Amino acid sequence: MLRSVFRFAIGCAIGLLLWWYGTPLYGQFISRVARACLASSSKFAGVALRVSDRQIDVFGGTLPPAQIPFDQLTYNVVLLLGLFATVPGIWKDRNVGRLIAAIAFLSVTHVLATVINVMATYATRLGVWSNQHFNGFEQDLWTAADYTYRLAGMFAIAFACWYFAVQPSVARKAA
Amino acid sequence: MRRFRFLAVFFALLFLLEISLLFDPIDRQVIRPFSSLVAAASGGLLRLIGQQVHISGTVIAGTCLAIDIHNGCNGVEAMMFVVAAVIAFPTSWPQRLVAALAGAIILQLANLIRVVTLYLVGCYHRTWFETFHLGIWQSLMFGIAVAFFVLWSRRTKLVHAP
Repeated sequence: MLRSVFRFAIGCAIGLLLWWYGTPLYGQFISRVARACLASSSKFAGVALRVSDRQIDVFGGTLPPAQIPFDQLTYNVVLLLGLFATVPGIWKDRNVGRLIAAIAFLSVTHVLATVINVMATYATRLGVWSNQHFNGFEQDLWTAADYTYRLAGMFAIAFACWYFAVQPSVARKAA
Repeated sequence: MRRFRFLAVFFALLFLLEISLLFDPIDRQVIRPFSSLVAAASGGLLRLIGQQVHISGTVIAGTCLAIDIHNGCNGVEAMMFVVAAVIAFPTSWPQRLVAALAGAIILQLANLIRVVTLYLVGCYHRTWFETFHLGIWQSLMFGIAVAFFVLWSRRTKLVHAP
């Protein structure tokens, strides 16, 4: 038990360092993919995303400029690495493969979270522009998606990656 | 297959619980009074350790910092996580209810420590506040929630669907 707590703390510390120092570089990659997704919507034709430290600036075309708190969408990597660190034999080939698969899946969810956050921001936080371009249903939809991801959804995704990647027996042993 | 089923039920329940928080009557009648209780308990603890704070509703205000307790800081999100996980787990209802209650109590105790330490970090090391607020304490809260669930599910008798 104590060993697992120690391993969890080490994993979280590594995750925290990655999140803190890696966010600007990671944001470059995520924002490129997110831009491609957003540009497929007619409302966001000509959109550009630029990483500015820990935020993403959104602008371009006829869009009013907005800022996305990118670092607040990605810190579930801390929990993911903390949980994976509790798995005995994490450095064995198979477990490393599972960890890489989990991180890759988490990155896909980070792209989606960025797209959702941009949509929620433009749908609800830009006053008249928001009301002109998004109807009530769309505003509720994007708000709900953004809210559920940021409140507990992002941690549930990290938990699910870990729970699914490791055998339940291993997960039980880790505790 | 059982893992798929567990995760599907878990996500569906968590989604429903989170969406319920967006309804104004639930926010007004349940969440805000609960957040006020969290603020009162945390403020009381801060006074015990010598901090001069004033509590007004969900706000804890001191000479150096004021913090507003709302969803994301009141521990409700981690409680919902545990509730969704224990309900999704295939066992008897009495065991689920006891686990949900025990998990909620443990998480609220952890949340008291979270609010108190965040206040102190905000007062004395302001530059670290965001790191503690997001990176450290959110991960710890959900780490505790996951650990509680894994430990409980390890000791709980499975009930298989017929």
